[in-house]
Amino acid sequence: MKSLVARVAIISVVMLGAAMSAHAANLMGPTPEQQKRHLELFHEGQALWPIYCNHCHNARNPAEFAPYQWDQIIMHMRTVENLPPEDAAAILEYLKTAR
Amino acid sequence: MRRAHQLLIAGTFASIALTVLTPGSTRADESSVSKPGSSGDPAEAKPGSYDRLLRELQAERQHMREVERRHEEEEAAERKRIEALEKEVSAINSANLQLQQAQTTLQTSNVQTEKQVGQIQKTVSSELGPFNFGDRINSFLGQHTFTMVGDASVGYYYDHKGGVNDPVLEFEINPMIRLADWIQFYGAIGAVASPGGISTVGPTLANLQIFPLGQEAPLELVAGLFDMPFGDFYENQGPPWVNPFVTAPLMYGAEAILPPASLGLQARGGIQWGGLGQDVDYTVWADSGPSFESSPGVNAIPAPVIGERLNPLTGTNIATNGKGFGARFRLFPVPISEDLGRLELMATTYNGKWLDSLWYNSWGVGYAYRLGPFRTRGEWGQTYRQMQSLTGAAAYPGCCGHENRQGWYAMAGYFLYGIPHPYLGDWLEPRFNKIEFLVRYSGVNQRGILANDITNVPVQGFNGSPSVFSPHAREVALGLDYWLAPSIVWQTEVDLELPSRGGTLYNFAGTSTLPTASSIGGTTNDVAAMTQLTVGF
Ligand code: HEC
Repeated sequence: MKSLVARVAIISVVMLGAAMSAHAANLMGPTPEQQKRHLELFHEGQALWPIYCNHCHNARNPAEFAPYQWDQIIMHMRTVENLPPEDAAAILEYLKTAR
Repeated sequence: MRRAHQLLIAGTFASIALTVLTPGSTRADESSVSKPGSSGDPAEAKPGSYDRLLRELQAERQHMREVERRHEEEEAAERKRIEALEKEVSAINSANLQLQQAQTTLQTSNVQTEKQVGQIQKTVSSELGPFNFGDRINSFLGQHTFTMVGDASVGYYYDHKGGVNDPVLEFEINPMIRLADWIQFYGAIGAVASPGGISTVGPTLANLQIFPLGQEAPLELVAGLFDMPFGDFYENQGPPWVNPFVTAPLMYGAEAILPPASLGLQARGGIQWGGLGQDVDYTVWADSGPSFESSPGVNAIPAPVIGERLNPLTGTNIATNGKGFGARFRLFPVPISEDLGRLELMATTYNGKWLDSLWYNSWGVGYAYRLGPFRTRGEWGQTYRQMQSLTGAAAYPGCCGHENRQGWYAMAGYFLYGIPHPYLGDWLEPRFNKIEFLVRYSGVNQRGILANDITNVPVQGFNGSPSVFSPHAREVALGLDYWLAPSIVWQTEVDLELPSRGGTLYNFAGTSTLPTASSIGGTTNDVAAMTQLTVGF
């Protein structure tokens, strides 16, 4: 009985610790690699947006839509434009960040 | 650091030793002074005090060792801390370096894009779309998978020959529902109010956009009712805030030679084959085939005849046994690094059966180009329809043989911000920058025209001129657009209808189920004018 209580206590402490460190990791935000990738995508999108998105209609302002709406609109626009996937991701990153 | 420590400790020892020894001799001296007659051996004279001194000395030594040990411990801990700090500093330095590099890249790419963005901003101020339907509905539903976009326009149309002087009102809404990362629903439904009454306008769409291999793969399926991906117009230039003209070019508008929408399945995608911007894309599809207004189930006219209108939607294949297969390829040859804008070259073919075993074949080529204040587009397309082969009493005028249609258009637009204008002043300058001048030439050739199709009731995108309905229609459209925002535009257009040669006019008069044929010469010229405010939201 006593050892059971002890085990439960140890497990809870370990789990609590794990949860706290996971939380801490979250608080620390994206890793430098992730940040670098975002930045690369952003730059590519920034270069593509004024040309690609101005091809059929005037380029729409990033601030016009919320990020979740850009997710949907880019899903639609990459269909009409048949955008290469990488370019779609870059423009999406640009639109969501630049707003 | 460590050396200083050792010196300090050594020094401490030395001074303790001095302190311990010096009082001893002093005392000896004292004793000799105070007790001159006593023995000269101090140890023998005071053995108890020596022991005490020794003990004190030992205790002192121990204390010093203890101090030294603690110092060492502290020093080690400090060293560790310093190492950790040094690591952190070097990590920060490298992150800093990365950031600096990124900033340099950002600055360079900024310089590159500044010009383009600047150009865009000149024409389109930073105003937002006026309504955020999607946002409101999402906050009502409490979820973020729904967006609603669309457009609305209100305009006034005038046509000389048709005696038209009418307002036209139109709207379309496009719901988008993202069901998952790889699937989204897209719809379109709209209405137009004109003197002819209220009717649905444009094709009603409802399709699923599916990424079966995820969004990273250049393969997408579109299933359902979709815009016909022939050329670029129906799919890419249709909405009134996208098309810089009020009307559509004849081959995609009043005198359409291809169906505007279709029911079927598409596979499509694009890849980059060279530098950034050098893309190639494909769209292949199978659908229910084109159909005409005489098709079973439609029956605007009772029998198939040369020159009759296409149905707005292919979708009567149960009655017509229609089927269609299409493929479109587009090439973007110019990399963006050249700073030469975006050039698109395209070719499409669409073939199938329009009624039972009767063929419909079509193909077309086109281009689109935009650089700074200048844009241009053009297309050429041809369709062929195999007619019935009826003989004897069954044959009627316009029933049989082949039907060919050709259509084309070329347009160009120029934003005034491209022209140097240094003395306009703060008020006029931004307004001047938002003006675009446009011109378009379009034409359609077909052997016959159907009297029953001729109308002068204007609807959104049709100017009301009966001269459009000519076997060899030609139109020059002049446009003046004032762009209040990227998707808010006040458009004014003047159309000069300059039909060329005549052809055959078929007519289902009264209750007649079969047409009569007469030949018509070149229809007279006409002029129409339209002005319209359009908002894409
Ligand atoms: C191939 C032509 C084409 C290109 C290129 C294009 N668009 Fe569009 N866009 C359209 C059309 C056409 C519509 C109107 C909706 C429709 O008919 O599907 C539209 C609509 C929109 C809308 C209104 C919301 C909606 O989805 O209808 C937004 C926002 C938009 N585009 C943003 C973009 C962005 C961002 C890009 C660059 C990635 C882009 N467009 C590139 C043709 C294009």
